[in-house]
Amino acid sequence: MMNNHIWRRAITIITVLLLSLALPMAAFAHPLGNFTINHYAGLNVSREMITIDYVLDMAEIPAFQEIALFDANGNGQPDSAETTPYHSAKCESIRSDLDLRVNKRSAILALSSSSIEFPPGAGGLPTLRLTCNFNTPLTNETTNISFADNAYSERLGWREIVLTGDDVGLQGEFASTSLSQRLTAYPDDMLSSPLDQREISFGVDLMSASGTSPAAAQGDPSLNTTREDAFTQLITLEKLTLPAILFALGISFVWGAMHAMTPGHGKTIVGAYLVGSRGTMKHALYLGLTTTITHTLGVFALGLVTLFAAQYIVPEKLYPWMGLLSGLFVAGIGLNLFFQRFKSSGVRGWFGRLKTNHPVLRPAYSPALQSTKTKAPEHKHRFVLASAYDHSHSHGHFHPHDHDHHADHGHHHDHEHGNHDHDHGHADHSHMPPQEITWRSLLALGISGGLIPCPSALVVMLGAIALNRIGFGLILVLVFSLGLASALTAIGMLFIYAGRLFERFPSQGRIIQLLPILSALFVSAIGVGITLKALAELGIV
Amino acid sequence: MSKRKTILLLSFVIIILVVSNLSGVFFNSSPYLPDPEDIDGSTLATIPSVDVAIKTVQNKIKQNPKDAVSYTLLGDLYIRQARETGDVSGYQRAETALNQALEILPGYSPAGSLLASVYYAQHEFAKALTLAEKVYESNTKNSQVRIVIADSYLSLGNYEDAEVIYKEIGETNVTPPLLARLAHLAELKGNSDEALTLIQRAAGEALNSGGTKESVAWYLLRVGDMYFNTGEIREAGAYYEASLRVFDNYHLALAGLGKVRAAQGKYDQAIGYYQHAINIVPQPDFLAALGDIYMLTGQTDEAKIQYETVEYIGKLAAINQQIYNRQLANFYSDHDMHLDEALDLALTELESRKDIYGYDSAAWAYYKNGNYKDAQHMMDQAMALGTRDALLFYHAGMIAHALGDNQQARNHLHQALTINPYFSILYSEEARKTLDALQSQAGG
Repeated sequence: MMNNHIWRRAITIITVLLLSLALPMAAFAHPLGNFTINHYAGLNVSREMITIDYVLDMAEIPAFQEIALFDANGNGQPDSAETTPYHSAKCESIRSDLDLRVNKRSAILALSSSSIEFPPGAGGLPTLRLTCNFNTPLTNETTNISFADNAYSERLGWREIVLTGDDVGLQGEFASTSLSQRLTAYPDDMLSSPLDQREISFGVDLMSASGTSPAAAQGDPSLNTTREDAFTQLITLEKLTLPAILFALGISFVWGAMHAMTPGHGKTIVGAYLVGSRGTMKHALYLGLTTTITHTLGVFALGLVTLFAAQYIVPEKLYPWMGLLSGLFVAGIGLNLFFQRFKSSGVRGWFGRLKTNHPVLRPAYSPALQSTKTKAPEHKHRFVLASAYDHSHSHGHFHPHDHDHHADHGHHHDHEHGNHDHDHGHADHSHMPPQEITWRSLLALGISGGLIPCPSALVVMLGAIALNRIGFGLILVLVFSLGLASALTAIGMLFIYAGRLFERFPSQGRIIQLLPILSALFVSAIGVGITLKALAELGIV
Repeated sequence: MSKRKTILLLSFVIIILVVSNLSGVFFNSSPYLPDPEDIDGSTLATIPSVDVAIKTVQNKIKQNPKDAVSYTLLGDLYIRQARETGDVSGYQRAETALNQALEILPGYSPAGSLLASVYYAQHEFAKALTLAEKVYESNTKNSQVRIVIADSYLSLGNYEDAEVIYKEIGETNVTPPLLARLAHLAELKGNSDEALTLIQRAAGEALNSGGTKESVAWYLLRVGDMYFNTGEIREAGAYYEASLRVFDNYHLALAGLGKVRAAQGKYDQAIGYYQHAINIVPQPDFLAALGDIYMLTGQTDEAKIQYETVEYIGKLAAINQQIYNRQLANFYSDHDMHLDEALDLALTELESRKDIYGYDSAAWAYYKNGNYKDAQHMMDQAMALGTRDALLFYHAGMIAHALGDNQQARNHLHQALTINPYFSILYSEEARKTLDALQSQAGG
């Protein structure tokens, strides 16, 4: 295995290394490390043709591998006899990795010239710098051009595409000067990331002499591609002009409202239900206000926890515990409801009365008919079915986190409600002041609806703190919460009207009458499920 | 049947329906893993990619250059980037960022503990230990830094102290990273079954708690490694594939699959996997393994290019850091190249790092240099923990053989092949032949 070839290579390497130790470290550094392959493509569009000034800069390791491929005499050095055929052949092979399309049709690039250099890199070891010039003619019909660089697509590296025009109009987002000065001076500070531009697409007007109009020239074009979601992006708005702020607030509001509408929000339907069942507009507004305040405070609190206590509490660690808590809550409420209902059904000959469809048991939603005994079970039924549906829905969307906390919201409210039943259920003929009940339940509901901050809002808050824009962040979160609450309230109002329509239909059939008990079992089962899941996440089961 | 019974029956049916609907979540999320075929990472949260996260934090720092927390976060992200891409220069960037954070806010414990872990990742174990202990003194609530302390102990060969700390942390806070360390400890102590259980639990919990895709893929990779090390290469392959599904183009999983295919004798596929891994990151161990397969299949020219590149990277890295010293020493010994240099590298490394694999590396270099007595001495240290690693037993067997202790050689070689018949494409065959020769000698 050992032969002279390897020895010679080794001696060369060692000599170079020894030399390099005597020299100060070369200032030339690759932005990503010594195995990167870096790309630059400078596109120039004129009326007749498009040219591509393509540079490939291989750091020490790939340069070594590449040199080994054409080092025919095995001296480890790139001699001109070896490199001359190499660089044009290499450019030809790069050509097949470049995808240039003119008016969406693949264009054939011609190689006009090529060259190669071996600038010393770390420790004086050679790097490889290949330059290829391609071109292709353009016709007058050209309206758009796209270009993609697929060479060494898996290897780490700086990838930059720059576009200029000679007396032609260009439309699109592009840079017209090279940040790296054609891969000769990589920005080396910690605050800039390597570019990763692999493709570009732009419009062309060959007849326009207005020159180039780059939309994002000089800037860091890569920033334009990091958009996450419209809401979280708002906090990084460059300049806070009045229209920009108004626009930001509008987006926040809409985003909050949309957040309330997304699947998996038990709180939406529960809130809607409570309001719809016996509430008025006043209740709906009250609910909205509670949710807004709670959500805003919640975002603040969790933001502060994340900022200052992250080293003690890992936020992700909290979620299973929250899940466990809510699971136990829900299971407890469900069992409580079940026993209560089952017992009352036995004592009062519930089944017997089902048959007769006793008028007292006929569901009557009218607030005027204040018989809580007949009304409450129906309530539960509608609520539970709605939330159970909601539940399985969010489940199907692999949203374990959402799933937990929204289940929490929903059933948390039921807890309050159930307690109320328990307290007052036997006072058959007492005319309960509905206002009082509703306010209490509404408060609990509003709080639980806003208690756990939505992730987007949290991101905005943290961003605001980091950017020292706490005031702006607070306003955005507040408006987001308002949007959330408005959606809740709006659905609530809808239900108020819908509920009035339903009053006219007497419900019949045994199954419907049995549903209060079944619903209690449903709640219990879901609670048990959530609890077990949380336990499993905690590694206890 | 009375109505009440009907109702109860109906109730139970509903409970069963609900529970079975939820069971998909909680039964699979038992501490152990689902079948590897069922793992694809689609349930993992979509955390912003590390590049996007880095840009976001960079922008924050631009707005507020005195933000020590963001610098710390940036350091943390550079560490994650180095792990994900295999580009060790990320650690240097992380070091710069964390030093910046500490300059703004001296004594900021999260930055200190991350900096210690950067030193650790760059194989500066003593430095990592010193810093981590200092950080821990100032903030005894920082459990992150305790892990760095224990890790450094482990790498320096102080297994007792490492174990004490791991167990202590485990009493209050069992996380996947801790489980992975306990698994490694069990592996070192020769408890392969316990190690496998622990690492599966770590992977399962990481999968369920929604870590980054790279971290989940890493745990799955470790499950694969542990299967491979006990000779169960089919399971190993399945977990490497799962790891690859969770984190696209994961270079370590690609190399793992290369290793499995080579063990199965599917050399073309093995070459394909290794080449793919090398296209992403030309890591010296990948290149060496690819070279070995080329050698085995008679493609000596191709093999030579790979071997030369390994050497080149070792030298290049030596200019900046020490990460590949041991790998290079082992590579030289394994390929009978620069044997005196191999011994030098191994002994230098052992001076600062007395763990069992340091002793093994020195033993093997001594053996290749024909110094069997010292090799034996080093090998005894390497096997002191009772680690059931086929390669250790192979080395011990060959050293015993060279010293003429045929009984011991037979035992060790037999043990090596029992633990993992596929332990090395270079040496499995050699072990078998030597053992056969020894046995026929003993029989005859």
